[in-house]
Amino acid sequence: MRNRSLARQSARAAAALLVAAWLSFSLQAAVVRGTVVEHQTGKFLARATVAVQPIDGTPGAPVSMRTNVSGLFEFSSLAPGAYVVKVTRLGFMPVEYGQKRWNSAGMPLSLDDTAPAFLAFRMPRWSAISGAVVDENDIGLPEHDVVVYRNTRPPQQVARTKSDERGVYRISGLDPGTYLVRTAGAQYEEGAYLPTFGRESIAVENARLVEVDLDQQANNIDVRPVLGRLFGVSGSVVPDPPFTPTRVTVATDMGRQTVTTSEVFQFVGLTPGAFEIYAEAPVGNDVSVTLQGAYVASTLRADLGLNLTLSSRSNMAFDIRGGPPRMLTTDVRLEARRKDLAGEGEIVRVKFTRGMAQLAPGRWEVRLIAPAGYYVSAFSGRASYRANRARPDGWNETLVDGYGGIVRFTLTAGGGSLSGIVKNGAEVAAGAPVYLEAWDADTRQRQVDLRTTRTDMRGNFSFRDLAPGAYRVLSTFEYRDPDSAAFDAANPPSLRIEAHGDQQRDLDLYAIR
Amino acid sequence: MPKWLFLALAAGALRAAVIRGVVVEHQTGRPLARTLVTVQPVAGTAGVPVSVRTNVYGAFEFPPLAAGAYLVTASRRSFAPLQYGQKRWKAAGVPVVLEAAGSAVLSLRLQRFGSIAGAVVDENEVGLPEHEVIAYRNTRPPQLAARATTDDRGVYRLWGLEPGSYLVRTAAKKAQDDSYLPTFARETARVDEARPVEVELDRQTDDVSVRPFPGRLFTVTGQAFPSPQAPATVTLVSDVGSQSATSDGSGGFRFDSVAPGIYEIYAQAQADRRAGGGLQAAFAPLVVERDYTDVRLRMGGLADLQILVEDLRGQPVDLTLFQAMSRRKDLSGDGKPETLRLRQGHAALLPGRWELSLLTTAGYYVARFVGPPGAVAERGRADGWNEIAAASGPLTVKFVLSPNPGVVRGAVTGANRAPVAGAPVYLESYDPETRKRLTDLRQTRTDLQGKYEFYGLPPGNYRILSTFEYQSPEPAAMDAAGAQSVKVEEARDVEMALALYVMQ
Repeated sequence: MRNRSLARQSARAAAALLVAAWLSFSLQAAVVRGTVVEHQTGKFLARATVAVQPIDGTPGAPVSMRTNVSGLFEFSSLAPGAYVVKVTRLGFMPVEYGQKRWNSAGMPLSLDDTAPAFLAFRMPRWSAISGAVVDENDIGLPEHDVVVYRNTRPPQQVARTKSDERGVYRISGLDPGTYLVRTAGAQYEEGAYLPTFGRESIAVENARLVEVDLDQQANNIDVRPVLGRLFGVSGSVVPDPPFTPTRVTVATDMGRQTVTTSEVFQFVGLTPGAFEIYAEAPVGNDVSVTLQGAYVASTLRADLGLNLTLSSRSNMAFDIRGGPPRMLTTDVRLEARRKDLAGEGEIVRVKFTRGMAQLAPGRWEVRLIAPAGYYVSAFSGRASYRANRARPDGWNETLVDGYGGIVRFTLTAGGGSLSGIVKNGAEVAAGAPVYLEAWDADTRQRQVDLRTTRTDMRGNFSFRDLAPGAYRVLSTFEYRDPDSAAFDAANPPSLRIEAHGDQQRDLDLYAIR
Repeated sequence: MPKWLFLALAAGALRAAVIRGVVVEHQTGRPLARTLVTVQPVAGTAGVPVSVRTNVYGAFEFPPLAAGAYLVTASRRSFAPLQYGQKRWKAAGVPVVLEAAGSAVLSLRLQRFGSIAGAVVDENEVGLPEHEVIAYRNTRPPQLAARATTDDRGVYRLWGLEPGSYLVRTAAKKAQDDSYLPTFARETARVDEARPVEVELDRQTDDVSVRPFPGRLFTVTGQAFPSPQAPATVTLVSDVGSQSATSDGSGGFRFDSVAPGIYEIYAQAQADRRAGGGLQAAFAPLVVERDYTDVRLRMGGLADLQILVEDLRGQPVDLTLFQAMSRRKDLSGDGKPETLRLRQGHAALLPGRWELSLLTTAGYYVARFVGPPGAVAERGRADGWNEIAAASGPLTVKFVLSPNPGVVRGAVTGANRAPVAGAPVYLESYDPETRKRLTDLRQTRTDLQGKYEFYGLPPGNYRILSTFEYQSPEPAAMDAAGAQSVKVEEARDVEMALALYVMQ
């Protein structure tokens, strides 16, 4: 009897504890809700993804949800703290809460348990350029390739499309900025057109500049291509086994064309000048070799025929020295991107098979993301002529040709670190972006890709495993990915990181006045 | 140069006729540079077809031509081809008649093909980007005519369309957590409820928006088993089109975003070169109503089609005198006719349904078709398309030829009973009971004296019409024009005088 009474008392106590815990949790839960609409029209955006990411020091994991048919969302059980809130939907530019401009960083949203926060997001569309490709009588030229480049030197290709039967084209999905529009070379039965910049220029220096802004379309960007003589490169691929689907790419300083073939290929509409051509195919029956390829760099002066015999002997292999004992290939991340006349290609992760990783023939840039506690201290590879002045912890250029060879990275323990506090006046800046740029003061150039972090709830930041060298560090909400010119304008402090050194540097939050 | 030769050349030049003119865009009147203009002499006129391109002002001039009648056509990419004298789209061109030393100055106005524009939108009328949109001819089954992809605003534009009636449909689409079923404009899954869209030359039909239905899409994965292992091309066909994938190193293939429905699945790969090369293939019907993870396509050799040709007495006839044609027949409709490449009477056929036809010389007609069990002649006429089912292994078909075809000939006269040179004449094999066309339409043009002739005709009922009103009249147009009936008998010539039909 006494036991039963004790049991009842224990059960009541447990229930009371549970209720108290639930009540305290409910009382402490913060709520954020809001709407997402199209910026131009105010129409509800259903199924937009809203993600909240707690900044360090705020409990909880990132969560996301979709807006309902009326563009509404609600996160009802977040811990009090600070969050970065981001909204994305296909066809729209991503938006972060508190952004000053489209390329600014989002401000953290501070939440407490006293009142729910209501956010209204208006999503702008990307920029677009439209116009027509016309002949000498302003008649539209159909199915003519139109290429948009960033106004850089060399111009960077960002998008490509074809004109319709009226000669009209439209290219969307552009960041705000300055662009160049150019038609590709085209060979028709009735004649050939040279690649021509808008409005009617062969030389990039005379090209028309096109400014685009968010939610805007630059219209009437017409191009009148110049008539002339074009050449072609054609031939056959010889993979092993025969008829294996092979990707063949021709690259010039104005872009790339790719076809997939198992036998013959043809590229037309090429202008005289330097070109590179590379072919790549999988190898099916050898687990230790995954790729076969071929690479040719030459100058086009007339129509050219080429036979590309694919070989896996010419692949480049990778060797990693140093690093932690018993390091596995999964502990590092090896990335590569094509480097050809058209610029830098898409970044791909290179997989290791039985401890070996391979790259198909051609020019490449490679980088190794070191395991925690290490940094890349040395790089060597065939024709790595940029390695002398580039930092080995960044992108390293190498040539993979018919002789194969080995690319070697060396990992060293004891990289430097940098930490500090970001203050906005007398207050600590929670969730502030901090950018670290490896910087060469002599050439005034960025050495490796920018490193980014955010301060925690107490304004602390830190970067670890830094390769020794010169850096600049900046904390600001003004940019999401500041370039070197933005760093110059903000005039951030320079510093030198030494191996095994732990540098402490507090920062003032930079804001454009 | 001998004096007599110089005089002859000079006389020829003086007596030569000239065709010149200008080509402009119909809507704006702007000159169309580099347009191809061709003259084709009507039978009885000396000379061969000649082509020139317009200059930067859209002007053209042919070298001196012999007196006679010529058909003049102009074509430029993205414009509807034009025949001089056409009353409307799909009307036949009227010949230019030139006297010796005469000249003709032509003004040709090219029209653009039609187009359809609209948007793919969600329930809030917000455009859905990167959604595939397809235009079909409004036939049963619908025939794919054009494809487009929506831009970032959900806007699409389908162009290059011949005038006619179309259906617009979005393709199945899977994006992140959403999936949309194929949907006809404006918002229906059923072809019978789809909104027909009329298209004309030089015109864009706007606001043809589609609101696709959210719904479940399926995945079809499986393995093709070629021997030896080689990449296979696998094609999934439905009544509204097809999609293809290439199998990976282990033969695996995958189709995502497959809408529920009836499909045919085809696979083909290179065969072992040591065993003679060529292709290997597989075919299977498939009803998709769930995810499939285990479709297995065991690939084998192609059908070894043997074509025998013999006469009515069973004596073999030399097949090399004729042209054997084939076209694939699948859920999406009839494929493009292609000439069969025969080796000693044999050809390899991929598995599936096919139609075969034999093009004979004027001295024969196809009297009978004998195929494997289940073979069907198109509307009962062996001289048309004959359907067969092909599978791996030997397959024999036989065309029986008669050496006694009929002939229809005559003259076409105009309003003043004068012969009409270069007039189109259409001959339709016709079943008066079912009131249906039996085989493809035959056509010719009259010569300079207005005479025409059709050879190699199988016996049967026909309708005949001469008119510039159409390029390829449908049975309904033949009805409306009062086409004359004619009965063709074996080894008999039929004389038919025709009055040129002009639509009033």
